[in-house]
Amino acid sequence: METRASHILVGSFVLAFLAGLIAFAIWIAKVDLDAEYQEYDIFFDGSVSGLYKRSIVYYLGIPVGDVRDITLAPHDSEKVRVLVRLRSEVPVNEETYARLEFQGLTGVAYIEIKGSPQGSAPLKAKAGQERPVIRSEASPIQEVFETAPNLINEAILTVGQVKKMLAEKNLERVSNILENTERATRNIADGTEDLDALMAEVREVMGRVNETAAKLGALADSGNKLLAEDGERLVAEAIETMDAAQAMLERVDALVAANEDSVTQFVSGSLPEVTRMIMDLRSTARSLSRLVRKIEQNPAETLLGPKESSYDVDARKVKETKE
Amino acid sequence: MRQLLKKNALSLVAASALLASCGPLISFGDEGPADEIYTLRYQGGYPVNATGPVVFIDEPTVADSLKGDKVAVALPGNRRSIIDGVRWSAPLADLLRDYMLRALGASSEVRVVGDGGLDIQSSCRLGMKVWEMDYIPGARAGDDKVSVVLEFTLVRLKDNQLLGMPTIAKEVGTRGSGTNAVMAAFNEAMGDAAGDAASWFGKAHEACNAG
Repeated sequence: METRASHILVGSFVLAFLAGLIAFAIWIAKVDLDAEYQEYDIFFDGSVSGLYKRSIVYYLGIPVGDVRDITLAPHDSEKVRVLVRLRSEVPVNEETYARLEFQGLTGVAYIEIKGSPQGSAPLKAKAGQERPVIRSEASPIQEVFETAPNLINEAILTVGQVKKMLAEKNLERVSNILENTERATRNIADGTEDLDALMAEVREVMGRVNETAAKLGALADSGNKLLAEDGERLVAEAIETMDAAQAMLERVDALVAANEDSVTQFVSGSLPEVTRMIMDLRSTARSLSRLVRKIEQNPAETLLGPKESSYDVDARKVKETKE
Repeated sequence: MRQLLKKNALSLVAASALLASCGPLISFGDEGPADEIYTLRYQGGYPVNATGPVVFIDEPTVADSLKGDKVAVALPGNRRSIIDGVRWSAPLADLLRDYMLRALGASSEVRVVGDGGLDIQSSCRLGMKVWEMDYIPGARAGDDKVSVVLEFTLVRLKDNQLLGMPTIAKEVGTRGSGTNAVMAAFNEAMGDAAGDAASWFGKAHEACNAG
């Protein structure tokens, strides 16, 4: 008996199986056929270690895209260009920035998109750019990682310095300082007793000052009396003297005014001449003084010359004394 | 009358005796040969048409043994003497003053006045002290030399400010023997000293009108 299979039924089953297989594959691959994406470039300064192709890009903690490519920046070898693909509904504008973040301490990195306030202009590619560029900034963790080696070195140095500072010798000195401080504090406390005695003395002195001030006041009163009686006469004499001086000055003034030309001539011409004459007289007086002294000491020698030996240049010897 | 004549005769005799007693003191010079007379002659020109400040050169003061017109000799052991039969043509102070007047006047724009210049109002006074102007005989004729040491003081008269006080010393060996060689060496040394003095004075005088 020959089995009679229905070809139509078998074909239908196979087609249904294949369709189910494709649907299953799509479901497994999570292919989002309806999603639309927009590509952006992000330039990071320095290393992006931990970031790989297909790393997730988050916006407010929601995965909105992935990393498509990681290369060096075309014109700056210090930077890294990361090509990302973001869903088109993600609001990327001029204020948006990207930050490289790390998942815990595993070293796996991802990109976090932040700061897209409403009202800002949408981000577009500028001239010379293949696609829009999202600006980047270093994350705090990244800065910590970059500065950590320096911090550790400085910490090691600091620990070394602290160890030196806390050496046995210094500890002994610190102990001495504390002891001295304690002694000084005790002395200050004791000194307040002397301070009390000093204040008592000051009070006594102030009492004497008050007493002296009272005496001075009495003296001033007597001085006032003196001025009232004898001062009147003194003032009268002073006024008289001042009047006389004033009259004399007026006479001098009138004299100078009347002889202004002569006075000017004397000051500008004769006075310097007198100065020069004094210089000349001084010189003459000096010479006369020398002459007089010589005459006093030896008049004959002054007139006839001193007795002195002379040197014969030709004979190269001193001749006998001249008489 | 007779007594009067007698008294006059006695007075005449006494006066004659007194005059005769002064004989050893009064002399009109010995009968020896006349001295050779030398001068210091500045070899440069004369001051002409200067327009700078007026500077009065005071009468130089001279050190011991340089007074007068004798030529001083410095002997070993701090002994002093004079060259026999030789003298300057004028007292040394006058010679040096005139020499410097010409040297400084010819080498600068300064109007330098000397003796008789006190009538002119000056900006500065230049004093000069002559420390040495000596002939120093050596052990041999070739070792003889002369030494000139001059100290200058430039004073601004407006405020009596001392503007400079250099000391210039020169030593020149004699070329040849005899007094001619010695006096030629003096002239050469003075020329050198005047050159240095003129260099200093050329700058120092600028402060005479300042202040």
